[in-house]
Amino acid sequence: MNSRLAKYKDFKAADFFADEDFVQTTFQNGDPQNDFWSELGDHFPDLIAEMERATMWILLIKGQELAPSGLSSHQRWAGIMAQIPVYEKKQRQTRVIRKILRWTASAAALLLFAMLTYEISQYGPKATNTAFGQQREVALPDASIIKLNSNSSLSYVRGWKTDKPREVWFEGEGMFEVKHTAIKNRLRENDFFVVHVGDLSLTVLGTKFNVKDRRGRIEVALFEGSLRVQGKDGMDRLLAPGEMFIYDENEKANQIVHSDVNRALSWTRGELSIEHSDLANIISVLEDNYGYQVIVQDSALLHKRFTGVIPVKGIDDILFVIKHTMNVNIEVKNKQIVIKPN
Amino acid sequence: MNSDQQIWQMFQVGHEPSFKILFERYNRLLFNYGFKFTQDEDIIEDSIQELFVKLWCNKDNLSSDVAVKNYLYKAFRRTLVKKIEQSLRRADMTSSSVDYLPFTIELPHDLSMIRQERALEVRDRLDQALQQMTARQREIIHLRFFEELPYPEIAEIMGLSTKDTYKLYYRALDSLKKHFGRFGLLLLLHLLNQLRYN
Repeated sequence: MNSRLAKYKDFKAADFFADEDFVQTTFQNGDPQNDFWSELGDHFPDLIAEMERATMWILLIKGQELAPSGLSSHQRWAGIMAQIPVYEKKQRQTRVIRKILRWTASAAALLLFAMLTYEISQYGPKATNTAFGQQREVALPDASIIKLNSNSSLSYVRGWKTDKPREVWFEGEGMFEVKHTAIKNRLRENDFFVVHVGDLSLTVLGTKFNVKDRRGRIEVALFEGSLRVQGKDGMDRLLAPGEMFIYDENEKANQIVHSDVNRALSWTRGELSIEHSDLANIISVLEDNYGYQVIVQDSALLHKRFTGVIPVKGIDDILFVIKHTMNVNIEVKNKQIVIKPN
Repeated sequence: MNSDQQIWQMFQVGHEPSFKILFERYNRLLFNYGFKFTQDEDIIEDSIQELFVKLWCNKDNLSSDVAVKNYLYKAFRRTLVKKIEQSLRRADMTSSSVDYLPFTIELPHDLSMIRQERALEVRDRLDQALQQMTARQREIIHLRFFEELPYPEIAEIMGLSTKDTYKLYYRALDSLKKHFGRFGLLLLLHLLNQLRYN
């Protein structure tokens, strides 16, 4: 007996229903394979009823009527044709919105990056310098303001913590307005503000003072509050408003004098106060703040005294005053000033 | 008549008459398929419309090598199920899993295609057996015998693995056998064998 026939010997309707060959034949009625199934029926007459039943199942399921719909194909098609332009428009808008969103996202990311970079750059050491003839105002993170005169430099480290005093390192001349941060009855380390200049440390809370560090001589003039000066060899002095502390770096000598502290501030108003000073004093300003080399041909001139206030917009103003009050001849060549007797 | 494949390729290059042929071929069948899940014609019509509108608008992004019928049924079923779930959620019905969606098989009342005296009886018992099956088992039977789709494609349309589809199908056959009696041990062995090889 054919082994293929034998395979179906004990088949029931459900088995034929599950048999791919049988199902295929039923789908394609009239296939030559049909002969196989009639041959099977000849061999096993019992199977005929089972096959007929399986065929019936398939035909019954296949014979389901299509569900009737309210809309005709024609109406459906018209609906689709009407909807396509609407959808395309919406798609375009979505694409534009998506593009805008993408752009906004990258802009936001860029902004965030810039802000982060800026924030990070604000930490760590900072330094500010002024060139000859230049002045600048520096605002510190704690809202203290420092006005730098020409040829001066200020540096500090951002990251002032609450357990450390605020600290700056300073050279040249500058006017400090330190923000008072202490709250009543509560003094913390960072309420102190320390200026390191030369060998000295100036400690304040919130005050206004001028520091001048030129030619080995440091002058600290206090306008408000109090200021503590500490130096080498345990030097520790307290300054009251209206007092000026003078320190000679070579001699390690210091003294406190009463002085017109406003004079010390004249530079911030664009003036040069030369009361009770001689030509040597003015020359030091020319050299320290403007970077000139000054040659005085007759040393006797150095001790000639002046009194008054010179408005200084620039070097020319100073030279004009010297020339006319001392009756001298002045030559300016590059960065060199030569003063000769007339 | 051109094959689905040829028409699909014409449609993809923007040939509108081909698109219309695709539509004419399948829109009634898709409606019929949808009607087995829900009697809400609006949902079915919306799904058909969305399917064909998106098909046309996204034709450039579609694969040119697809089993067309399979693709259409799969996409349609996905759209339809989504819409049914949405409407169920609106109606505050909690069980909105696909597995719980109904599937009805309405056997024909006109039995003239069957030359058998017992046709009526067979139909009623088949009907009973189908009622005993789960909705997903009925769906497999429908796709296999009404739509004449092969099992791997049925699996794809229904989002199942081919293995799970066979399992569901053979469990459906159990129901048939129970209703038509004479369920021998040999058949059970044979069935288990077939399960193993698939």
